[in-house]
Amino acid sequence: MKVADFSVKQLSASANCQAGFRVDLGPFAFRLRSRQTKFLTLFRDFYAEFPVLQADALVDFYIDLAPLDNHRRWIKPQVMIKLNGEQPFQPFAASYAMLLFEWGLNWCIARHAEQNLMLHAAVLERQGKALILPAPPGSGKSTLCAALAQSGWRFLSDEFCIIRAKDRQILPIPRPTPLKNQSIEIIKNLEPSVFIGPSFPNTRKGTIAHLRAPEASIAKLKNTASPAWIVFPSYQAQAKVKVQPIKKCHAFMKLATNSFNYQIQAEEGFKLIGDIIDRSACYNMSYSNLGEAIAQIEMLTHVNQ
Amino acid sequence: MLDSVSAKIKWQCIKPLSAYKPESDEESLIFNPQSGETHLINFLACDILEFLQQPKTIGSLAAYLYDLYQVENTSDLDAQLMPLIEQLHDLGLIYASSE
Repeated sequence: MKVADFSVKQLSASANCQAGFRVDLGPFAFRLRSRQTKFLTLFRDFYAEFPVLQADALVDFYIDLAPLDNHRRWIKPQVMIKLNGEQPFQPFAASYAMLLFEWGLNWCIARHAEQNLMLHAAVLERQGKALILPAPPGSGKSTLCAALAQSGWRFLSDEFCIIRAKDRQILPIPRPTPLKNQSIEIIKNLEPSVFIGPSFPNTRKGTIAHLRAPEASIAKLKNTASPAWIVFPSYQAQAKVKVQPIKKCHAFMKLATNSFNYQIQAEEGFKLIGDIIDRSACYNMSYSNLGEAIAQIEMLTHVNQ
Repeated sequence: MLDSVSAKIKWQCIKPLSAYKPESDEESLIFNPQSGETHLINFLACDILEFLQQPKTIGSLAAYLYDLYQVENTSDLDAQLMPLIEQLHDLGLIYASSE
């Protein structure tokens, strides 16, 4: 069964009980407990196609999202999140519960990194080959990734590129993409049929709205991909699109810098990144126009097929 | 010129030292398992680390490099050598061997 097979009422009942509601994210699984009906309604919209697990299934993350039981309950209600028993975030306004949940899930994933190498990167796939877009916040990574996902690429992840150590395969984790500020309208205009949730203004990253992952991506949740191209995108206002091959050693260092757990992985991480770089064509790309950037990526990924 | 004490010191690289050497690049990467740090090094440093798998004096290292690079005027290489050895030592990639 998938999440969409549950009505909001059924989902609420399940998320209210002790065992909680258990969802398979691909490389991870989580148990969610919450009584926030508005949040659960949104959660259902965004995770509609993800498989639901049995109530006794083993999970990696235990997530509890609960109202803060204080005097603000009636005026400006707040929610708090518990992640595997910890409470690393301050309470949020109840209307921002979805945002808190997504950030909480990021926190869980980033800390659950012993076995696999984890990069801060978007990933897309075509014919089994992965295009990795590693970049710090503000580089236009999410917008570019969302646009590529609407132009024939399979969306694997917006935030985490998880590389399995044993076979160097990239594991999909096609969660909602947090679009920021102008990107929200850009993606809406690019493909009006996509599902974008409510906007959350005044966050520390500006206004955020989540884009639901394409159904076809979630249908291939267990289909891994081999690294083939690494493009370091950099959005620069007014810039003409420019793609430059990058030396392997420099690509290595940039990739290591974008890793959540390279230091923890030690020598295995060093060998793993070396393997990934050897298997991939590596480029820097600066751009301002999304269409031009996509055309360049199409060209270089066809040349290097 | 090295003093007589420095000339007798034998240098050796730490082990195991993992390297990433793409054919297309003149630079290499070295992983230091003791510090957990990764270092971008040039071809000269890379050749030095390879030669220092066994303990060697500066003199024998210099002779090896003259031969490797077919150097006629050795003064340029000599000028680079000791500072580079000191840098590699500071990074914990080589040590003065007791052998």
